[in-house]
Amino acid sequence: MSSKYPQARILTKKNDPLHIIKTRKATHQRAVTIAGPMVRYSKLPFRQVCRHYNVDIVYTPMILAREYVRNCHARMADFSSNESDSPLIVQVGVNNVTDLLRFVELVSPYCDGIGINCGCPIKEQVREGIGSALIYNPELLSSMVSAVKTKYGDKVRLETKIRIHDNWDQTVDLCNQLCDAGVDWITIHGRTRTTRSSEPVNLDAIKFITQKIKSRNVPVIANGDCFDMSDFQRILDYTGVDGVMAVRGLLDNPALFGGFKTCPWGALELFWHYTMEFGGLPHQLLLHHLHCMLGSMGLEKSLHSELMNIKDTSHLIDWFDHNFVLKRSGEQGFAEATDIPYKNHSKP
Amino acid sequence: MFRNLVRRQKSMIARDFEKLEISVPTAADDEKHASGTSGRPNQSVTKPVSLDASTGEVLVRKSTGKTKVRKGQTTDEFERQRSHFFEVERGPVWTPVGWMTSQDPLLKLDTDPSSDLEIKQVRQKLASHCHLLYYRKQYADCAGLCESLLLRFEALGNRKKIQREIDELHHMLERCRVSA
Repeated sequence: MSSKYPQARILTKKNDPLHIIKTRKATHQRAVTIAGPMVRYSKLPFRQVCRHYNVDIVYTPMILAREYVRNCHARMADFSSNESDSPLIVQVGVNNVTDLLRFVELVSPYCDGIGINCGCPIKEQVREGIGSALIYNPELLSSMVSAVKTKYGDKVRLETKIRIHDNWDQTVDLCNQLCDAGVDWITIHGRTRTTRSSEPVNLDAIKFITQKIKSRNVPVIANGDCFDMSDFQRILDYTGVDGVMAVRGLLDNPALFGGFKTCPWGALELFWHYTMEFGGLPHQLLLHHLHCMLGSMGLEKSLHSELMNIKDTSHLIDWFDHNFVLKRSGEQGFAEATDIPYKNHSKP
Repeated sequence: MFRNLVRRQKSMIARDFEKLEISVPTAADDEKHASGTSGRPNQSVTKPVSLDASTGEVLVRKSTGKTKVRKGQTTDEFERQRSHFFEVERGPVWTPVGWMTSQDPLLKLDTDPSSDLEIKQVRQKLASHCHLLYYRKQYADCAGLCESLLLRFEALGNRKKIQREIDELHHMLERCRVSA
């Protein structure tokens, strides 16, 4: 391993994701909470907001290894971070060992673990052999896991986020192969490659697979349909997993692991704060986040329609200041409100 | 010269591979994996064929069903990217709270050769400085920055492409002048 360049970030009890997964019950009297990867949306400002509300581990969106190791503009656009962005898992989309090893070499000094995306159902990725294609290619997936773990051992944590097969035994086989290859933990999304997200997640499948690989002593995280803390507990109790990853639920309500049933206004103020402080979030992304959070809060319909027609960030700031009390960092009560503080309207 | 020859040969081989009628295996080809699919076949699930393990060159399928070579990356090229990443880029974009106010964006624009206004991300970053000042209600500072950026943005070649960005700077400038 070259010593000329930064090496993988040192893992301690504070940032080692595997240690956190294994010890959360003892230290926090609850299972580990994870904010999963969302295509486009799990950027730094959103990750920071989640960290305010009891999220233990946060993922980046999937980054394509092929682009990242070849193109500096892709690097600039795909990944930004800072020292408070930890514990952090960088999720990677990849279809060969060489790209993965090179990607890990570049990224591991700036994160606490790497997650291989084996769940993305988007056909453009699946055609490339990336995402959920990997659950049908256990030899390749295992060889990628094995290559990273052989090179880095415990210095780099490696996770795989998989979907289930129609035949659950096939998923059990895959998990056993991943365990043999040295994977640190496995996240199971309880849908197949072709199941729509409108269909409920299959907790029976997650339970079955978790039980079958229990003896391997590799933690399992459940993913799918976690929208509040009652879901969190129900999933844990039913499946016997080691922790729960929320994704869509957090997009609407980044405070869900903090026990909030709907998004509190304070989370939205924090999101504005971080988005402005870190910079670089495209307007459409900012708008989508605000649309989801305000949707969770039950924003008046007429205002919601107005929101979706705002074309740039400065007009968005004007609109917020016109309609709501949007506090800035340093102002009394910043990030503390729960309900929407309307200025000119009253919610019926 | 030898290296060029090898490169040429490799690209010829890659071209030839694309012409060849090779079918990239799919999960459906694997009887064991195809079973139990509840009538939902996995034909479109590609198993990429590794052409050169040392460069990561793989053969995948296009939407038309034809094959496509995803070119590999030579060790030399990766070394170039790696050294650029660690020595020039200094790792990923690093943005702690306060980073935008700790530096003058215009000074960076004038001194950093990688700050090319033709690049969308560079313009986006500069606009972010304006957004921060506008959000913080630092209207005088925001107006000053908007004015400076407008001069530069309006001098760019393909104005049509960035008209929306120019319009936003004008909007902030007007609002700041009223509010300051």
